[in-house]
Amino acid sequence: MFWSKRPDFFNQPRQFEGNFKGERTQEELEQYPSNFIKTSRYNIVTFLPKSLLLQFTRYANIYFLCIAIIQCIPVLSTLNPFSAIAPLVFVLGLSMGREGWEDYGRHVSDNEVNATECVIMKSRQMKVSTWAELAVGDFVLVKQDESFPADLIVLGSAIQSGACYIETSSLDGEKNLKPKSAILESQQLYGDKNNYTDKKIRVEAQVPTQNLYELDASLFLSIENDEKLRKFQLTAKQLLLRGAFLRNTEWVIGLVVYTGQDTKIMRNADASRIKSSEIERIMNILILGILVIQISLSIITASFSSAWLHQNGSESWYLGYNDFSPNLLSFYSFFSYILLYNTMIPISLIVSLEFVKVFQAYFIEQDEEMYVQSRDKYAKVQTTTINEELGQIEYIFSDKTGTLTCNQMEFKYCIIGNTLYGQEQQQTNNIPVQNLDPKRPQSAKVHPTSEVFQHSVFNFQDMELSAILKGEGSQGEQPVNLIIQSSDGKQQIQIQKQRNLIDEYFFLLSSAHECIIQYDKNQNASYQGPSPDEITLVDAAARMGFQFTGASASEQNFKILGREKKVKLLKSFEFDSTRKRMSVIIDDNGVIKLFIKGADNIIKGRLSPNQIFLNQIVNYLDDFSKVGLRCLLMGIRILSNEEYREFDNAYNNLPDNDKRAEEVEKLTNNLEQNLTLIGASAVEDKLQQLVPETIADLLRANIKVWMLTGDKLETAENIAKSCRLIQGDFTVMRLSESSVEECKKKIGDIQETYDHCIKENRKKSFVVEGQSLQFVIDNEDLAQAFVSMAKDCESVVCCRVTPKQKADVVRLIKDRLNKITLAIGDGANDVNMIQAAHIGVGLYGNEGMRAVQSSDFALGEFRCLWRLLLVHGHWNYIRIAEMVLYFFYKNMIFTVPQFFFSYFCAFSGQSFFDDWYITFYNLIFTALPLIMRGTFDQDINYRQHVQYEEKEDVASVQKKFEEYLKYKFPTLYYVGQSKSIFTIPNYMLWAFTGLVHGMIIYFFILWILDYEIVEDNGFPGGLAAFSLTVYSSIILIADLKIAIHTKYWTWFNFVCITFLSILLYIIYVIISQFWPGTLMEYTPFTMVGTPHFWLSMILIGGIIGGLEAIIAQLQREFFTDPASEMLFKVNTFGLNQNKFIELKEKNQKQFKDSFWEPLYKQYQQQNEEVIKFSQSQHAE
Amino acid sequence: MESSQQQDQKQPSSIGQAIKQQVLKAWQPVPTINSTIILFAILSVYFLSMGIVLNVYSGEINQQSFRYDAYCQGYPVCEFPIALDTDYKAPIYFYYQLDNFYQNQRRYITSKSVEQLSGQQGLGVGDLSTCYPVITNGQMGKNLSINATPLSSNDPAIPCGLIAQSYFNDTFNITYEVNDEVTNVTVSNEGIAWPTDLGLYANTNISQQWLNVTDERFIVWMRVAAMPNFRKLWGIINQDLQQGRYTIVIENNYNSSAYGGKKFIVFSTTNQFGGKNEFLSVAYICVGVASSLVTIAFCLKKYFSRVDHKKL
Repeated sequence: MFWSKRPDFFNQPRQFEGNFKGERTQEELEQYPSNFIKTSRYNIVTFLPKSLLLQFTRYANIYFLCIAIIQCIPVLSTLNPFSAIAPLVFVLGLSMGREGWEDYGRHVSDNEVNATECVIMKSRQMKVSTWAELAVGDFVLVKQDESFPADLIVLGSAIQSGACYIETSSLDGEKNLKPKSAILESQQLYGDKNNYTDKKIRVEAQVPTQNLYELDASLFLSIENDEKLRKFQLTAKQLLLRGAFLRNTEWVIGLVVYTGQDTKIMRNADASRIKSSEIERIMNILILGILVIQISLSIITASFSSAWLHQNGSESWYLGYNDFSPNLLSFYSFFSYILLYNTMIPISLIVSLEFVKVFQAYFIEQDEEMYVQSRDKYAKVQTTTINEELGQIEYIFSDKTGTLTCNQMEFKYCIIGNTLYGQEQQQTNNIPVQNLDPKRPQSAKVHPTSEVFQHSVFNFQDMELSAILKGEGSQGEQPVNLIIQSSDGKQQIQIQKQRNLIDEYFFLLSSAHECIIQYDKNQNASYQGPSPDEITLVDAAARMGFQFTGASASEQNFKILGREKKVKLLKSFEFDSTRKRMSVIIDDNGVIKLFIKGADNIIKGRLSPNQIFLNQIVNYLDDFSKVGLRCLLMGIRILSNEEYREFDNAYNNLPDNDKRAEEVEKLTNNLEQNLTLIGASAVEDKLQQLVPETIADLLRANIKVWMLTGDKLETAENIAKSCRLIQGDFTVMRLSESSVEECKKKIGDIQETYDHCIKENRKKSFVVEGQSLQFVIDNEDLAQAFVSMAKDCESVVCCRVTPKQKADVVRLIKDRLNKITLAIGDGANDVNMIQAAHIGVGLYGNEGMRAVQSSDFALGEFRCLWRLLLVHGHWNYIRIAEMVLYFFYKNMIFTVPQFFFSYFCAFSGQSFFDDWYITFYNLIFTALPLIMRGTFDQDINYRQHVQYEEKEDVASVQKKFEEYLKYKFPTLYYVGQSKSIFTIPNYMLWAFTGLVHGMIIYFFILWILDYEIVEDNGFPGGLAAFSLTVYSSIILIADLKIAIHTKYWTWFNFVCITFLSILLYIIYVIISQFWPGTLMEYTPFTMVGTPHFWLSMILIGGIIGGLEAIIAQLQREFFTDPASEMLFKVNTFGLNQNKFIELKEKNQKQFKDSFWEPLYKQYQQQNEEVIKFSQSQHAE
Repeated sequence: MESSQQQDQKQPSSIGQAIKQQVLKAWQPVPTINSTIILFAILSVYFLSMGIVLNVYSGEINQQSFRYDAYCQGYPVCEFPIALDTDYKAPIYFYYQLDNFYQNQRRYITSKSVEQLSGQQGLGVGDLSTCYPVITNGQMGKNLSINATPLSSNDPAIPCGLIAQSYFNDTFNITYEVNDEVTNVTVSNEGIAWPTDLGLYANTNISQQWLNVTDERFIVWMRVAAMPNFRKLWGIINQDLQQGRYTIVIENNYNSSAYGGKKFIVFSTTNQFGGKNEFLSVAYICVGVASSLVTIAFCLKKYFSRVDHKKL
């Protein structure tokens, strides 16, 4: 599939008939892709050519190859061809080996999948076959807990209603069961697996798409013995997905509709993302720039060569130019110099960077501080190429539900009639939820629970309510006198007392939902449903004594206060994000009731006039939304039999076409009117651990945090407040208008407020609603105005946004401001946004794995962002940025002597260094110290103490100090954010430094060794001696420079610089003494014995070290950088720990004028802030 | 930020854990003005003292060079008068110096056969491609071997290659007159090549060679020079030479004027640090002086900032 083009005829809408006999011709087989899946790319024969070809799609490798080819032409090359081919083969071999290994894995899994057995029905006989042999039109029998071999249309199910349940965790990670069902007519024909119909069946289906929840197909069945086929529109409800599992259903019969590469799972599989970071992008441009410089230098040298040859070539008899052609020779020398200056191009930089990034990713994945116990998850890095961009984030776009909040609902309050229940329960926000912790013993649980994560938490308590439900107390006797009539007045119910109202309310909760009940191994029941809100409500009702015990297609069973109850389920209308309501129609002992629950604005608009509870409920709701609770309203409508029949007729007579959904919508819309409000519920969306603290720190790191949520404005704003996205001193600007004109006007007003804030330097937050946001996105002027303000707001809250809008908002900022963005979310609705941002972070949530699958980094909880960005990101940026700069530098100092040498060797293309010395420079001698530095360097490590001192008071000061460092840490984030290290001026500076250092090395050694007698027995040096001295000095300076720039010296760094760089070099020098035929042969031993060798190295080291030290000192004098200031404190702290304790014990006054004074003040500030914060938390 | 009671971290106990958590014990040096001052103080002391030592030693070395190509222009044998300024103590190293001669030219540098020079027998013309463009006796322009047997012009030249062909073949005979009596100074050609190089050269067959490859002067020539102006050791004079006039009888064979080069002879003594090296000692002294200036500057800076601090 990677290499071969998909035939065009696969992309046609398909029409096929069910193959009752299960036999088909070759021609029929080739009409559709086979169900044989091939994800592997190579076989034994094609591996070598294909993977080689793939390697050479990388520019670096092409360049590498060109160089190797030039190097193999003796006229052009002065270097040993092997010294270029060896690294090429090494790099290619490594990549191809990896490719091959991965492909082997794919082969294995392909074979496994293709050989999986499945049952094909052939003329009502079960025939065991393999997945690979399946073809479109086959009838397949799938039993419980088996997975589907292809995308199927369910024709019949063991469950009489035609329903079946599937689990799609392998596709989208969602563990909850999805109800599917055969259409009624096909269930009648195929409901018996031993005796299903052999009549014609035909399917028309569209081209397969990626969307898991879309099926555009129709089924033609022959009903009632006539040959005419009747058409039935199919929806995603009939689609069983390849890879999903059949659950809770004994068997289904399905018709294969999409096979192999057409299946949804395969269509979704090849979403490959190759992201490259900005640093890498700039780096590639710089490399191209260097390539240009390399070529122009070669041209310059070649023309000098031509000039020299013209002038001196024939006269210099010792060169033996009989067959003399200066132009050709200088043309050759152009290529020779391309080879020699090739050392300027940091080819091995790419490999080194990959190494470092893999190590960095390893650290991220191993980080204990990012371990989330409740989910048993460490962080996961799925894209290693953008590690350093984690340190450059300017905007974070965060989902709310499941990301900032737990997506774990707690049933907090219910309002029934005019009465509010649930005020007695204790504050639970800070108590760890028992179910969350798998390691705790399962404490005695009254209610059925399973091992899986619980969407709902139940701590609801209300004495009064319990009393009423038990039939005690007098409150239940309060009169209500609510009469609900059907619209035509033919049917009515009367609710006299509060007690009856409460019964009705909870009955509604346990009836109006889409949950199903599921039993685990221990026969414990739990509810599964499409949204946690819903489960919470059903669960709450069950715990109050209104237990939903199951449903069939036409019946609902309950156990209400101990008594069994059955009602007929007539219709059920699902919840979706546009309807924002859910309703059922039931026949409760002859009374037809429409139970509805939904968002407050939706329900409010559908109430019949004169609602007796409305005012009171609205008052409560206002209060609820202030503390960030999610509220739903519950309503009832009574339908007379005539009314229902009328509706049912209309419903059943809807045309079977693509407009059907619209028509259904219209019908239900009409039905869900004239409601009577009976109550409301308030559910708390619990904040995840440490969310407010994390957000506060992110804001301190000058990262702008945007919250994008589907919630309504008030709820969103309140959640924003509770997670410190909007803090007390923030000015909040709101944009929530319903037309473009109003929006424009409002933006003008906001602009004034905004300008005011800027003037007074106040912090500000922007709250914008979905509808207005759409205007902003669509209208260029508005967008400009909005972005210009929003970009500087500390936080922005977008509420009532759709998944698409989420991505649009991200793009709005990403494209207009060219800033690095990060999107974090946990659900399928965040996928768009995660893919749109520079960096996508997925949370292991309860809403499935979709977000994680499409993300670059996967985390357990939002709080891990702290460590990921502020620590790993910060360090990675510094590491990578400095590494790239250093790499250019070290190649510069290595190439400069070669360049100047060309002036002294008549531009003849003579290499200054020995061939293998050139090869090993980047490959070995300077590689490891750099990689180690790129792996381990840190500016500040706030965990100073691996082990605290035993003395209690010292340990406490140590801890305090670490807390202080940790508190200050976010303020260092600007380093990456403002891209302060890897800049073009910095690059120029480093390159210039390289040039100067290279010149110092070359010319000083030239002047020292020129003519000079290097030993007391009178030997002069020679080229090899000169070259060796320069090379050794370069190694010395390269190591010295990296040592100077290493801020965090672990023993790894020591080992790498001393043993793996210098010692290896020394060993190689010894080897090269005996390497026959090389320039260096028999040079090193003599040279090392001469004083000039050492004297020149010491001189070079002294000069360059001294220069660096002066520059560093001047830098410190004129530019103080916070990190080194902190580091200074760290060091002083280490020396003065005990003194500090002493001082602290004595008197605070002692701190005056001392180094500790600002530190102490910061302590106090921090403490105050923490206290203030905890108080404010408490108040809520 | 993250409250510690919520997440009481495991103290990383093992090294592996410390690596994973990036809390390896580390040294985080922060340069301060004090450390800078100390660094420069050390640098200035070391470089100044070293520079002075080098300067003194270098001053003790006697070295004189004389250009003779212009003087001897046109004479196959020429008597070149020189005057040594001071007394030279044995051993005195006697060098020739060529200017504008590109021994490091790429074509030149590769034009030799390592196998042939190491005495390998039976190498035909085809095995000596590295010697291009001078492989055969004909190309070399030689027709007599060392022991005067004729050489076939199509046989490989031993030694072959440009380097061997351009072997420096001027000879020097140093004489001085004491009381009208001409005395020769013996110039030994033993011990002038790098000891390690000696093992690389062996004769194949004297009667087929136009040159004795074990001659140390040849070995010295074969170790190519780094720069176009270079000196090579021609011999060692194992006797003291008094200040005064000397005549050097030069066989002026080597054509330097064709390529615009110059020829010199050089007398030099050495010490533990090698030959005379003005540049090295000057560089050391300069670095030393500069470091002392920097030290002083930073000291002053520190002093004044402290005073300022006190005033505040």
